[in-house]
This record gives sequence, C-alpha cells and structure tokens, in this order.
Amino acid sequence: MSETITFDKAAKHYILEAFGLGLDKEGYIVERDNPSQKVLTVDGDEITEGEFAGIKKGSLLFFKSDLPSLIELADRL
Amino acid sequence: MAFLEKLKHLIKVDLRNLINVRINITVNKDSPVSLGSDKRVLNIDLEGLPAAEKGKVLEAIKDTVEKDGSALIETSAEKIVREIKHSEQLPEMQKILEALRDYIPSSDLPILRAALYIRKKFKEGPIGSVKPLKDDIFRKYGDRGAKISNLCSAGYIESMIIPLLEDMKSDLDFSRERFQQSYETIVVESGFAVFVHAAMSKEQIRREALEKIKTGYKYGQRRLHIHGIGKANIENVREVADQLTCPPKTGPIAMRVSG
Repeated sequence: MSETITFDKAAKHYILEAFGLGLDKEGYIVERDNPSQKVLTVDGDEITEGEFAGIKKGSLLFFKSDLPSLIELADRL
Repeated sequence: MAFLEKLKHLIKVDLRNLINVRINITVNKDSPVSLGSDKRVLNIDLEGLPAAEKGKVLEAIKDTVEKDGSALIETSAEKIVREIKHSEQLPEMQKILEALRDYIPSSDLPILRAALYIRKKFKEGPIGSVKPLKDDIFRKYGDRGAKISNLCSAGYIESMIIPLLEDMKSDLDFSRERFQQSYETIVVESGFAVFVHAAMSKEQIRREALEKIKTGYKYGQRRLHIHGIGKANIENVREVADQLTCPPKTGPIAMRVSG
C-alpha cells in the first residue's frame, strides 16, 4: 500500500500552495496560474477550502470531506 | 518511506515504529520535527521550520503525491477513511454487502455503504454525531439516499430486504430485475414503515400512518411499523399508535412502534 500523509486543517493553505493552488473570492480552490479554472473532484464538483479533504494521484484526484467522497477515497487506498 | 528519504537531513528521530507521517502547524520551535507520544506518528511543524526547509518539505509532499502515489489526507478525514475501511472488514458488514452487492442497483451500493457506516456511528455515539453524515447523504443522493439510510437505520436491510432476496432466489424464475422491482417498492414507498422525525406533529404522524395502512393494504401488507428517533418522538408515536383507528375495509393491522 502506498504511503498516506495527513495534514491538520490549519495546514491546508500550505498544502494548496505546494500544488500551485489558491482560493478565489468565494473560497473555491483554483489554479494559481489560471484563477478562472476551479479545481474539480472526481465527480466533477467544485471544491471549497473548507470541503477539501485530500489528494491522490491519478492524475491529481481531489476529494471532499463528505461521507460519500471519503468512501470513494477509502476505495482508492 | 520515499517521502522520508527526501527529508532525512531534517529528521533526526527514531522512526522504527513509525506508521504515519502527520504534518501539523502547532508552534513548537524547539522541535519542529517530533514523534507523537506513542512514537507512531511523525509530526512536522511547518511554522517551526526555517523558510528554506519548509519549502523542501512542501516540495517533498508534492513529489510523493505526484510521483510515488501517496495519498494526502486531512487528519479528521483520514480518521473517517480508516473507520470506513475497518468497519467494512467486520463480518456483519461484509455479510450485508456480499448479500446485496450483485443485486441492488449499482448506484445504490455507495448509498448502502454510507448508510451502514452511519448506523454503526449512531450505535457508538450521540444522535447529533450522525446528523452531518446523514446530511452528506441527502446532499449527494437526495430523497433516495435519505430513504435507504432510514431503511438501514431501522434494520430493514437485514429484516426485510435480504430475506426478501433470499426468498426470491429460491424461485425458478428469479432474476435480478424481478428482485429490483420489489426492492424499488420498498425503497420508494417504504410502504410498511413510517419514519418519524422530530418536526412531525401527532396529526402528521397519524395521517402518514393511515396513508401507509391504506397503501400497504393494496399490496398485501397487514402490518405497519412506526419508527421514531428521540424520546419526544417516541412519546408522540406511542400516543398516536394507541389512539389509531384503522380505516374501513383494511381489517386488523399489526402495528409495531420502535425507536
């Protein structure tokens, strides 16, 4: 099984920064190089910083913190 | 761990029992890299590191996700993911999922998994702890998600749906489609149960119970189960059930109240 690294809520902005991401005025995660491009989850949902729960490779899969999304993440670990 | 290899110049603690890497932002400038008290979690305090080292850590995180396939998960979410994986290994959960996996609509399987997890959490803790999870199901799956979740909470997966499937499988003309027709009736109508939530008045409970009795009578049901959650609901439910008079032509109905 590949590694799992966890991060506290307070570290979210550092994590997003590391991946070249930021927030728009409404709090949605966007690409820093292309702020009009919102990051999407595997289901095609836009995602706010508050909802952001994790990232997995494949290309880069973003997961929200709701229960159905976490079940999907559990399946990919 | 590939991630730790990239940072070995920074990490000077004994990692023999390490099972996880946790990055947190507590200010602890004396030891920006430390082991948790059980020696199984490595804490990296980003704000305790010099800027250059912080950059190296973040670069290593990015690399390990993009190149090594590591997962990067917020701490409280990771706890839930671990609980999900653990609970689905339990024999009672596996039994339910194995029984229904190939027969219910595939789009209902994630709902069922979520509902089973919620039921387990409900049994372990206060009612308030599951409301956000139930809201998650409703937001993603709408009324159907809420209905399946309620059926699961009330035990109807084991007491009704699985026995129905087993019974139908013994028929010579059994098919997945035939089972799904009956399953759909249970899910959509929840025909034999009234689920009572906190906002329902006694009159609303009474009206819904009578409606369910009439609908159930049409499909051969001679019973009604009224299921409430919370002390206030149970008292209302019992009062309504005691005073309920069945509609004409439905005949005697076996009524059960629980919560």
